[in-house]
Amino acid sequence: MAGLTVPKSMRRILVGGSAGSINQLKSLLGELKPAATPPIVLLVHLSSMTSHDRMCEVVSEMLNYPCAVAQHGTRLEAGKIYMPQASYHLLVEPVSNVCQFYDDDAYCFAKPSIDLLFSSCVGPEAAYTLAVLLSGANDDGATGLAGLHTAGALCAVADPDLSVFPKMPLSALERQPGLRVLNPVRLTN
Amino acid sequence: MTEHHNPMLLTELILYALKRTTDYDFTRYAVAAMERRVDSFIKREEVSDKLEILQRIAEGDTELMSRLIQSLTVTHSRFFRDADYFDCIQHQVIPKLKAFPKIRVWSLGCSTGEEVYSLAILLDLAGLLPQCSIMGTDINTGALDKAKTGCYELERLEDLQHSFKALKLPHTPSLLDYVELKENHFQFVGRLREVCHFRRHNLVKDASLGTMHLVSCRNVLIYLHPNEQERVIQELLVPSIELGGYLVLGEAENISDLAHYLDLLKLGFGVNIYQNTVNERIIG
Repeated sequence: MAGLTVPKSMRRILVGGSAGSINQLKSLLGELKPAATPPIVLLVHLSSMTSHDRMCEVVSEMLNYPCAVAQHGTRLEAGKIYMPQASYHLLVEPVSNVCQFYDDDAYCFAKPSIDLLFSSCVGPEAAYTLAVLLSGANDDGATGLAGLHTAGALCAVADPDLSVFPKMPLSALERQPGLRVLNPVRLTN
Repeated sequence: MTEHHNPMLLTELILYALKRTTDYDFTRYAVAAMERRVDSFIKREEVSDKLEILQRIAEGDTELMSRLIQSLTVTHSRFFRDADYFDCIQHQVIPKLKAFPKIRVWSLGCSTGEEVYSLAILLDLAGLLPQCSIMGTDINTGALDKAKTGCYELERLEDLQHSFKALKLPHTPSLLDYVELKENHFQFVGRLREVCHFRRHNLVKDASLGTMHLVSCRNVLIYLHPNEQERVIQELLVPSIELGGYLVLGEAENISDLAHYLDLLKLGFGVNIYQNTVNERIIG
């Protein structure tokens, strides 16, 4: 078990998490240099009381990293973190790296859904996708991460022992035992 | 041949097969989302897998195609969805509509009718219902059949009541003025249903239904190719707005770049509602 160096071939990093995952972000992303890092899409389940705009500011300050709320049609740029809006599921059209909104019911009781975000990059571009699932109390993301892994993406979960709510990484490991386990929960350039 | 190798490719093929054989085009929708809907369809129907779906489309099984289309269409909808929108419509748009002797409203992509009945309630609260006609359109005929009944499951009542209470009303009307409680559902009252009409309409292919004072098309354009979005806005939506009327688009559908060119003025208030600026000169 170890952290993970982001291969230079990666065109996007997808990070999903729920309860307990905010506390892992500093460890996971804190050492990455924006200038050397592909775009990061960060989807953390938030309560309906939490503004995504405010969360974006908090993450940007915490990591000292440019952070923006993704809009429908936003083209992902290297060196930035993108977070979703509460009203829509967020998907990435992987060939163009353009964000797409999808308006539907919650999946796995979550909207936006990590599963849908991850699933949107399954296909030939999966080989250029790094996806990480963090702490959480439900299994959103497990199916999407398994699909990405099967399609050739570099996929990892936070060590369940380092996760306040291990259900999310454990569900992913049950579904796809070959996933990397991050201990420490850290990405580096 | 098995499906295990690349199930998403098979989903894409199903979407393209539907596009070729019907006038429904889901190929612009996110494949990941469509995959879930196709999987749910397989579980619900007596269909063994995606290959069987493809084969039956190729054989011209219209009944299966019809049920599949209903399953693929997004029907997500809520009463008074997005409080900011309805606040703006109630306080900024409807007072201006009072200037018109007849008020025609068009809700595109209305699904099962929640937005249509929500607008009808707002217009009634303003005393305008008798002079209104509200048309809801969608490509999903199953959803429209439900909308026409005005009947919804009882568990939806709490959502409606919560949204209704959130409206900033000068007095406190009862929701029971608008719904009748039945054994296991509720139904909007007859005077609301009488002004709400529903019909099938494909906004990509069909013509305008005439000029309207309020055209609402929320969270539909995001599924179209950018070029197609622009064409629908310029050739269908804008020509359908009466002089002085309003265009309501979804939270993610900001057309500020096009608005000036199309003589549309964004109202502000953090929502994508545009007024035909000619109105200012006509009714002040």
